[in-house]
Amino acid sequence: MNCSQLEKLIALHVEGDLPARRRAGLTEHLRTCTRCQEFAGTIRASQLLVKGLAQDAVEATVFEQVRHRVLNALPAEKEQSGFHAWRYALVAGVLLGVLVLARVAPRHPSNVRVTAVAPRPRELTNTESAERAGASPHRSPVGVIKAGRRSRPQRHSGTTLIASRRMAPKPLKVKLITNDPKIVIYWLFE
Amino acid sequence: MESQELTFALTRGPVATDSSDSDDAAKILKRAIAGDRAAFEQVVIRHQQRVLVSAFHLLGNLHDAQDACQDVFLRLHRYLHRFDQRRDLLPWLYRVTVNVCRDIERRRPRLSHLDIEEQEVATGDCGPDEEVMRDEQKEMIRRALKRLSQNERTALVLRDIEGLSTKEVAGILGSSESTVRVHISTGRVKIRKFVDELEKRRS
Repeated sequence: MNCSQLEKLIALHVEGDLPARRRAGLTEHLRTCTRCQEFAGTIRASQLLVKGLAQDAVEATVFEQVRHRVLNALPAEKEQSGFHAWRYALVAGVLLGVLVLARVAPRHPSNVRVTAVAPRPRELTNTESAERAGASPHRSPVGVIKAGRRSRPQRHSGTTLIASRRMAPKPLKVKLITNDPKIVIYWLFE
Repeated sequence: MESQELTFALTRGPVATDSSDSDDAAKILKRAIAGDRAAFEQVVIRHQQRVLVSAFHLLGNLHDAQDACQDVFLRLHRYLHRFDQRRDLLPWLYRVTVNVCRDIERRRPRLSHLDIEEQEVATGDCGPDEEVMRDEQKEMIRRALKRLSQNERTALVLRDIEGLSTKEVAGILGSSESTVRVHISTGRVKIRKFVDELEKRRS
């Protein structure tokens, strides 16, 4: 290494920042090289000036100004953070609502596995025909309509719709069963 | 214009001290984290000198340094609840100060070398008074700092002016000690050359 290449090492050495493994060689060089000794002297002098900046003192009024500015800005900071909290809460609430709806309600009509709710005419047996001809009023036939399947298979159907209806003027009850056993939805139609 | 103002502001006045007991500091910090406004003010008083002066040395401008200082403490207030009380607050403050000063420097127009030379000529006709001479030398070093790259200046300010160790500087800057040493040595050599040139021109 020539002397100009050693300048950066000398710049570290004068403040004790040079790693130990490189210190010995440089110290030996400095003992014999007057050019590097001179460089080390000038860099020590400039370092004294740099370190002199540490003595800078700031007027108390400048600190007071800064402190007041900080403390005056604090309530605004708090309001701002409060506003952010409300905004995040609102967004979270909306997202939660969307998630719940997406889970409970069918996303698309094609996701509903059941479409037919109208009673399918059923052939009566001979016995039933006879009973009906007898017109017994207390034994009205009950038709339970099971939900039929669509021809197209549903890939993501998370719901099964079972409709039950009595022939008598009782309300139509529609039961929506979801994948979540805790969530069951009923519709009653007059 | 700028140098006159800085000379006025940065040569006199009481120095805020932060020599209080560390236990007290921890208690005050704990209260500040709990939302005590008076305790937070105490934290500001305790650390404002280091933050303001280091920001001034990084930016070379007292007005910007005041803005930076305000921003640092507002960030502290905003994120105080996340701060780990077992750790020392000062390195965190230095790190934020460095980041805030970098942001400010990025936003403001860059001072060309020509502007720096003009300022040197403008302030070069001072009297022989010792104090004036000392102020002049400080001003010279501040200008030399401005000519360094951001990394060199930051490393040099933290190591040589703030008196932190190379390891501490590396921790604050998030870089290795060897990288910090490279920045420090390059910065010192550049400052030495700048001072040398200026003194030759004056003589």
